[in-house]
Amino acid sequence: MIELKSVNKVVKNGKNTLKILDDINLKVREGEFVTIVGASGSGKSTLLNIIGGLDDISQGEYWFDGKKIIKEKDRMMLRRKDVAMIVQNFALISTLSAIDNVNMAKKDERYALELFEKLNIDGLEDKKVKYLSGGEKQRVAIARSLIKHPRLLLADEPTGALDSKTSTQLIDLLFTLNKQGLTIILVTHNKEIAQRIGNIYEIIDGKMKKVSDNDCTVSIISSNLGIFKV
Amino acid sequence: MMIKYFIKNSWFYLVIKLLVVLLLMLLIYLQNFHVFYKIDQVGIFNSFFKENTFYYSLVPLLDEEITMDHYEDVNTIYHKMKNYDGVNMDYLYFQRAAGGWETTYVLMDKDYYIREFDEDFKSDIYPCVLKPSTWTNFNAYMGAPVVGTNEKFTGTLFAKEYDKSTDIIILQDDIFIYGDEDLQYFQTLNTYIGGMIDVSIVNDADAENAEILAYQKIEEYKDFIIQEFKKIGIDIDFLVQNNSSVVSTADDYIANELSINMSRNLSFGLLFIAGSVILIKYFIFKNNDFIATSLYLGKSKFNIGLSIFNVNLVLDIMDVVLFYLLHNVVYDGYRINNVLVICSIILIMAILIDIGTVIYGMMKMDTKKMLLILRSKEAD
Repeated sequence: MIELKSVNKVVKNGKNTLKILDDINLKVREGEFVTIVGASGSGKSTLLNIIGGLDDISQGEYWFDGKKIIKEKDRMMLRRKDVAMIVQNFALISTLSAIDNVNMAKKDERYALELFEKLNIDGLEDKKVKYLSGGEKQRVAIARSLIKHPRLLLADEPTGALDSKTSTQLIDLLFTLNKQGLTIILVTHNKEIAQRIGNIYEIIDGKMKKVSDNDCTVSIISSNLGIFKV
Repeated sequence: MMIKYFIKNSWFYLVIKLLVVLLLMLLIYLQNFHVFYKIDQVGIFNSFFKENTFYYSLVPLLDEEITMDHYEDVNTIYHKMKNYDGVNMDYLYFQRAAGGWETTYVLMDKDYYIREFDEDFKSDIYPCVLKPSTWTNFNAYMGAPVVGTNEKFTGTLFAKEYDKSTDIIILQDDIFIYGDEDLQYFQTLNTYIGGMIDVSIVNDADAENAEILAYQKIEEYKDFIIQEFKKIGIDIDFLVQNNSSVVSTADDYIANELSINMSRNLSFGLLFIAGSVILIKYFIFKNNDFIATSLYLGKSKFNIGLSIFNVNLVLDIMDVVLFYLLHNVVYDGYRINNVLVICSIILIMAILIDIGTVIYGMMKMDTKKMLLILRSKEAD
């Protein structure tokens, strides 16, 4: 599904150039759940931005479903159709209601309500996002991601602003989605979460290596989440 | 969704827009009041300000406040004219004769007809001699003092819309009275009619004897001016002069200011439209999480631009309606046709400004930067 070939990302900081990603090679198959770990500033978010079509690469190749992603238009189409992201800061519009935020991605009121129900946030549809808790916000963000039926979900520190109980619930939810066929790449610096998911890649100073296969995945799936159409 | 977002998030923009409109309207009137104040030698307008009354109600105000002798005839005339059968009088344009001219009074009614009456108001001397199609045209015909950028605009209209079948041109003597400024107007007028009048002949009005000299000049050059106009195919049946007393000058200005020219309104209208549009664009392009989120969700710049345009179109229409309402409230229904024309022009200009601004904004928008800033924002 995804293939990164010798990807480099260089940014200019005044007269200096900074290499954020150095010769990254990554293959992600359809239906995989991949974890990327690394210290702050190691480049993991930049990598996710590139995969998600938010940022471009300086060198190398990025292939998505056999199509080379080169132009901004390619990246826009990725964002629009195939890839959804959830991030630590939720990237929701706080003054709009939860349902309006979800409808921004795609106007599908019926499916939106279904998602709210499945994500256990039904009843919050008309509440402004600014009045929601962190966990509720993240679920709204997930609903917004899922409404367009993405094939790849990118999660950048999705538990960063959540308490441990809510974090666990969120990871359970991601497992459920993955089980139903959604490919997920999760970035975290939380080792427990990474170990729980397995299939771990680590980025150190812009270089990436695989540190764990999928066999250590712990499947704790919340049973009450029901079936998602992803 | 964008409109929903805008209403929910941007009520303060709307307030700012409203304030901008009100401020500009205020400026328009302050500008007028400033003119009034300058010419107000006897304090009419001071009480006028105290009353907090707009100047269109000046005539009723004069009714109550005039005490000085030389205003009496204005008052008398007003009452006489008000009761004149068949006249729908909105205000009085007072001409006071001097220097051997026959005394005439000019009345403008709501339909902008001008009538000349004899002293006893028994008969029309020149019934319905002129019906200008617009106030601007009227301004030009009346030889209203034209200053600044208005000269060109009014002049263009004058040149364009002048109907040669109309055989009356009314000039005010103001152009001779006040030296350079009025000479400038005279020159401008002269330009419009093809440069046929030798301006130098009226360039020697001196300050001390300006008034006397003015009437001498009118008398002296009356025939000359008529002849000069005739050379270019315009038959002038009479020249109306205005004397320089405070009353008539003030009234004269009132008439001119009431028939406030289109160009000034248009300039202000465009200014406030442009100002508020730029203000909004600034916020939209510099500080808008809706646009960043839209980009984040894969919306194209075109779609975003279209949404912004739609929102601004609604705001522009709102602006113009507000302008129209304010204008009509303040002017009490005067020049309704012109206001509609002005509003239409403003709306078209606003839409063009919008399209330009949106295209420019979209071209200048740094998608990547907006996306990355959105990504790096702290969770609230």
